[in-house]
Parts: sequence; structure tokens; C-alpha cells
Amino acid sequence: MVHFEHVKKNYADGLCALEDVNLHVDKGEFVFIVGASGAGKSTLLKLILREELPTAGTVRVNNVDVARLRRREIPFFRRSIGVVFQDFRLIPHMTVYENVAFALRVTNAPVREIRKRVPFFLNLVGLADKARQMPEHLSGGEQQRVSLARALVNTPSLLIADEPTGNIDPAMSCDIVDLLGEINRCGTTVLMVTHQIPLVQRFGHRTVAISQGRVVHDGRIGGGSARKQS
Amino acid sequence: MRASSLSYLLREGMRSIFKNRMISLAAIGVLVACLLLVGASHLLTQNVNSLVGYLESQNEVMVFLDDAAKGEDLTYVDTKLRALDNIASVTFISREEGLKTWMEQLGDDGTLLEWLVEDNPLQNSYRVVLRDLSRMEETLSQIRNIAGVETISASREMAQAVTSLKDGIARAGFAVVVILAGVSLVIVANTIRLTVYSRRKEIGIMKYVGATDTFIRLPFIAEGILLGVISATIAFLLLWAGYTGFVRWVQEGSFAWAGILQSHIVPFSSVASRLYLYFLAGGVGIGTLGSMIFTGKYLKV
Repeated sequence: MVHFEHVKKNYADGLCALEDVNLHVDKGEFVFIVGASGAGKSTLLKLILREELPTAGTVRVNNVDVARLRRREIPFFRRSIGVVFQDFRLIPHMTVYENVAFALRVTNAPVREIRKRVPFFLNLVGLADKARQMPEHLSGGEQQRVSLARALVNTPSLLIADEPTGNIDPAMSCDIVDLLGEINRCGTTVLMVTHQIPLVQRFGHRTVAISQGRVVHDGRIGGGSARKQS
Repeated sequence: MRASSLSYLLREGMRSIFKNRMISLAAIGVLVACLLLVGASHLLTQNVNSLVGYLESQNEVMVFLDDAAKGEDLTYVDTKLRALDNIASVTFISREEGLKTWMEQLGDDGTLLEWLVEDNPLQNSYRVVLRDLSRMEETLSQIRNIAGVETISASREMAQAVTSLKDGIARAGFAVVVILAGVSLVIVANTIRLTVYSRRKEIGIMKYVGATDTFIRLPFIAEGILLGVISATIAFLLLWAGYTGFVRWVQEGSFAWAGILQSHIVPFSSVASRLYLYFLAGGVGIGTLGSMIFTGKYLKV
């Protein structure tokens, strides 16, 4: 699903964000990515989303070499990936329903399709009764679930969650990760960036630790077989 | 494009105009002012042209013929004159007619000229009206070359004045349009830039959910077009009211030029549809162009 082979990323200002990263995530996996700020987690996600291009090595997502994507192909490539952010990034002047429908609307989906899918995914994240509310009237956890519904409404094969629990209280955080787990069990590959180690330990999924642009740990934390990177 | 997408675009454009209503109002104000000036200069040009057309028709060239030219010679001159391309009308005035007209003009004193009837000193002549005064010299020399033509009398100063007036107004009108189009383009572009800037987060989200550049850009272009259509309509209505008022003022007026002006003033109805079309084209063109200038900047992947 996601393959990094000897990936190196240098920014124009000389900053070396990633150094020889090899990472393979198979279809249907749930992977935590952990690391201190500035370790290279965001760069990793930007490479997957084709916001940035690798300086060296290859990044393949869904069997697509991101470096070979043409500019006009990028939007269509991104429709196969759902993204959830720490700050939710909901559109404040749209209702919960409209925010989710928005992701379908940009793909030029027929109205019939929108009317069918949006309630389904709002129901999935447990917000069917808040469809007409504005995002500002929801709690952090609820806003994140709206954002999750929006990421899922296009039925992506890969879901990227960038610190989805960063702005949410611990109890709610567990709910969100539970929800991500459920989505994962339905077949969607989930990559979740976090620095909440307790959460990682509690759920015990495969964990990739990044430090100073390198993968320093790959395996389960607190048990399982850790694959130390050389 | 789906109907739902189109209605989404229009709704977004309207919402954005309303949300940034102060900036939108400023942009509409400037666009209306520019269109009004362009429209006024268009109407002025139309009226001057109508007036100049009248003056041109009044500007006659008298072609006097050689006394020796008679019979077939006259037919030859006639054919040659009528064959010239810059001629609007040709009227033959025989020496007898000429004298008669002269006597009539003198009224009671006309009898003083009776002694001339026996030995008419006047020449056969043609009254020629030119089509395009700016080509007067060229046409005069063509007339001069016709065998049988002796002298030509023409008011060159008048012709030059009319020609330079027409040229000047055409040039000034063009300058007005170019300068104002530039000004409004800058204003609209900046208005759209502000809306794009205020919605940059939304644009970011759109990119993450896989919106194409065109889809992201269209609401802003729709906004630009809407600004153009609104401005064009307001400017058109204002100009209509203003011009109709002006025409009424001229027609009720009793000042020196009123007579000539009244008979040559261009009615608004004769230019209305064309003017609104120009306004729409200008407003929509400037709105579209203005919105395209800056949206690209925020769309870098």
C-alpha cells in the first residue's frame, strides 16, 4: 500500500528531513508513526500525499510512483487517500452535513450519491443527529469525527491521521482510535501519526518510530517482535 | 458540468460577494464608475459623429467647368465625377440655374441682375458632396484631372477641422477605454485576491480531498463574473437615466446650438442594446481576467 525505498528528502533551505527511509505498509495494516516534533513525520505524510517530492529514492502509494504523477493527476490520486488533521480543518460556514458532502462535491459526485453516502458516514462516526449543526457548536472530539467522516466519504483505501487526538481529551482520544480501528477492520489501511505513547501502548498496533529523519524502530511497543532498523 | 455544481458555484460566488461586502461594494463602485465613463464617452462619440455627419453633408465642393465644355463634354464630366468612389452626391447646376438662384437670393434686389441674363458671366458647375472629408485632397486632385474642369472651390479648413475633431474623439475614446479597463482590472484582481486570501484554508482542504485546480478556481471566477454582471447592470441603468435626462434638457433648452443638437442627438434606445452588451462584455471580461490573475498563486500543489 505504502512503500518507501531509500527515501531521502532535503528541503531547499538545506534541512535534511528524511535520511534513507525504508518503510513498507501492507494493505489492511494499522500503523502508528511516532517521533518528536521535527523528526520527519510531517515530511513522511507530505511525501505520501504528493505535497512534496523525494530528493532521492522512490515513494509508491497504491502502486503509484508519486514522482511520476502529472500535475493534473494529483487531485485524482488524492481521492484514494483520506486525511484527518489535528486541527480538524472543517469549513466553519458549512454545517456538519455540508462539510462531509463537500468532499464528494469536489469529485463532481451526483446529488443522489451525496444524499446516500453522507448520512451513512455520519451515522458511522455517531453524529447522525448533529448533521445540521455548525462545527463551532461541537466538541473537539465531535469535530474530529466530522473530519473523519469527510475523510471516509470517498471510501479511500488509505486513511492518514495526522495527530488526530492532539486536540482532544484522553477519553475522547480512545474513542477516536477505536473508531479508526473499526474502519481498519473494514479493510482501510490506517496510518496514524501521534506522540501520545500511552495510546500507542494501549492499542498495540505496529509502531514506526522516526528520529532525526531515520526509522529507528519498527514493530509493536511493549511486546511483539520489534524490527530494529540498521 | 452538473447543474448541482453550477448552482454550487453561483451560490459560492454570491456568498463570497456578500461576505466581503465592503470590498465587493468598492469593486462594484469602481467598475460602475469606469463603465459609466466609458459609456459616456461612447455616447459622446456617437453624438459627435452624428453631428459631424451633418456637418460633412453641409460641406460642399463646387466644381466649375470650362465655358468651352458643352454637350458631350458635359456628359463626360458627369460620368467621370459619378465614377469617383469618395462622392456622396453630384448635382449639376447650369449657368442659367445659377443665375436664377442668385437672383432669388437677392430677393427684390434681384432685378438688378437682369441685365446679366443676356450675357451670363456664370459657369456651368457641379455641387459635389464628399463621403469622407479626410480624403478631400486626394478626391480634389482626381476631380481637377477631369478634362473640362476649370476650377474647384472647397472649404479646406472646414474639412480639416471636422476630420481632426473626429480623429481626436476616436483617439480620446480609445484612451479612456484602455486606461479605465486597466484600472478596473487592478481593482477586481485585488478584490478577488482578498477573497482568495481569506479562504486559503478552505482551498487547502479542497486540495486534500482531491479537488482539481479548475474546481477550486471556478468559484472565484464566478465571483469575478458576478461582480462584472452586477456592475454592468448598475452602470447601464445609471447611464440610461442620466442620458435621458440630458436629452430632455437639450430638447427643452433654448440656447444657441439647441436647434442643431436637437435634430442630431442620438436617442438612447438606438444604442441601448449595444451599450449593455459592451458593458456586460467589459464587466465579465474584466471580472474573469481579474479573478484569474491571483487564484493561480494560491493553487501551487
